[in-house]
Amino acid sequence: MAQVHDIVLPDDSYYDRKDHLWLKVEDGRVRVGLDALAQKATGTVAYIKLTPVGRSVRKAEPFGTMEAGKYVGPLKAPVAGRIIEVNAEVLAQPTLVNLEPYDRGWFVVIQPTALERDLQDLMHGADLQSWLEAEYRNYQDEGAFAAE
Amino acid sequence: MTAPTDSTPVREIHFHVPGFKRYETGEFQQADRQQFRSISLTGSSCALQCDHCQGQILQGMVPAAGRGRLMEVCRRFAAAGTTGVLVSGGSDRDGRVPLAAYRHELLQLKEELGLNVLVHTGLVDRETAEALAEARVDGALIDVIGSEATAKEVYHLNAPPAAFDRSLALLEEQNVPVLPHIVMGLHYGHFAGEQLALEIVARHRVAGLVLVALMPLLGTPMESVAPPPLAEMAAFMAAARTALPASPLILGCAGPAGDVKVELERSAIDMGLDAIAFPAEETVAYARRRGIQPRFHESCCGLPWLFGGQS
Repeated sequence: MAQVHDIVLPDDSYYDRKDHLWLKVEDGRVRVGLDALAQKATGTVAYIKLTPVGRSVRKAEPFGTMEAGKYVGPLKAPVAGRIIEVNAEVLAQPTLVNLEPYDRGWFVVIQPTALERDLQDLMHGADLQSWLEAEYRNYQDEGAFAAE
Repeated sequence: MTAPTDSTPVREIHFHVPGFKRYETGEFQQADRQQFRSISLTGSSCALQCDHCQGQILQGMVPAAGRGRLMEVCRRFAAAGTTGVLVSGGSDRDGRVPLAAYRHELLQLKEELGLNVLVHTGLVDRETAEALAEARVDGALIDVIGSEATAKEVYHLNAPPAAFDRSLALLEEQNVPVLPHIVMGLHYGHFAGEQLALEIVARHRVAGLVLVALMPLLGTPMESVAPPPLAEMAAFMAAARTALPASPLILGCAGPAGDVKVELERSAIDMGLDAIAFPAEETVAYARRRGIQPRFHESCCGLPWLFGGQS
């Protein structure tokens, strides 16, 4: 895993370079959530709205929206595909994104349509630690952590 | 309703989306998140450790504690295109932010860097009021609490409502532009001293009034507290409009999310408020349907009003 201070990125996931969503491949499907760096910068998550099961999403287009202490905006799909599961628990308790970002705080499961292609754009593997260190520095320089 | 003509002024509503919070909706996307920055003179430390925040709000401000650090940080910001700063900080046990010690640097921010300077004051003594006047700050933002019990229990501060009244009077006496804030539901989600706070504000010359709906923060004793019922907040916004008929009223940047946020912002528009920070996408559409012209600003919600309504 990659780690800087209290921010941990597990090795078994892929990471969106811009929006810091994590993506975990499970039997050809992908589970999606917000990584620990983004959740720290986002602050207390207060509200989440997700696209219903059965709808298709394009890569980089919204599959939902999120409101938090420091963020109001879309959640953009890291891969193209069809939404096959939505986390009702996180809709009812949005702070799970802050409390358990890699476990109960996930958003949706997507049945991808072009997984191999879409994974190429995501961060994974040996470069994860150096990427996290650089991203942490950028976030810190921008004063992006917390303040709500 | 008749259509506006050249002689019929179109009502405008001002939507503020300063860069300390990322904002992206179908209606508006920030172009420059560096334009307005928040700075803490005490880093993340605050002696009060109030039940609402416990210093969390300070954690994401850029720390600038110590001699010379404020100028150093602001020089870097100005070089990156920042045009305004909020200089904040934690309070001492008496509810004061150590601004007086920075009077020369605050003036330098304006004179050397050309920045708009707002400050979070906490309670104000005469020395601080004089320092802020000397520094020619553009605006003083101060939370006004109209209940001694709320100040004590939530803020851990021994301060009666008269202490806030006196702070406003001292700032007014020094001709420091003031933009008071009243948090609706600060007493663990219930209305307590808000009405008295409003009466105190109405006694003074203010640049406007910011109303904030309580937003609980994770990891604080108030994390599970819900904001007051929408009807109570709407009634208070109406009372504020009546009490301050000619002053700008602003729904500030903290508050509930989701459907409650949309309903609260609709009420704010219906009650005649002048500005809303970080509006829901639906709110912008609602204003348009009511024939109200939306105007977006990437500045703190106080700034245009402190400059007489000009952005």
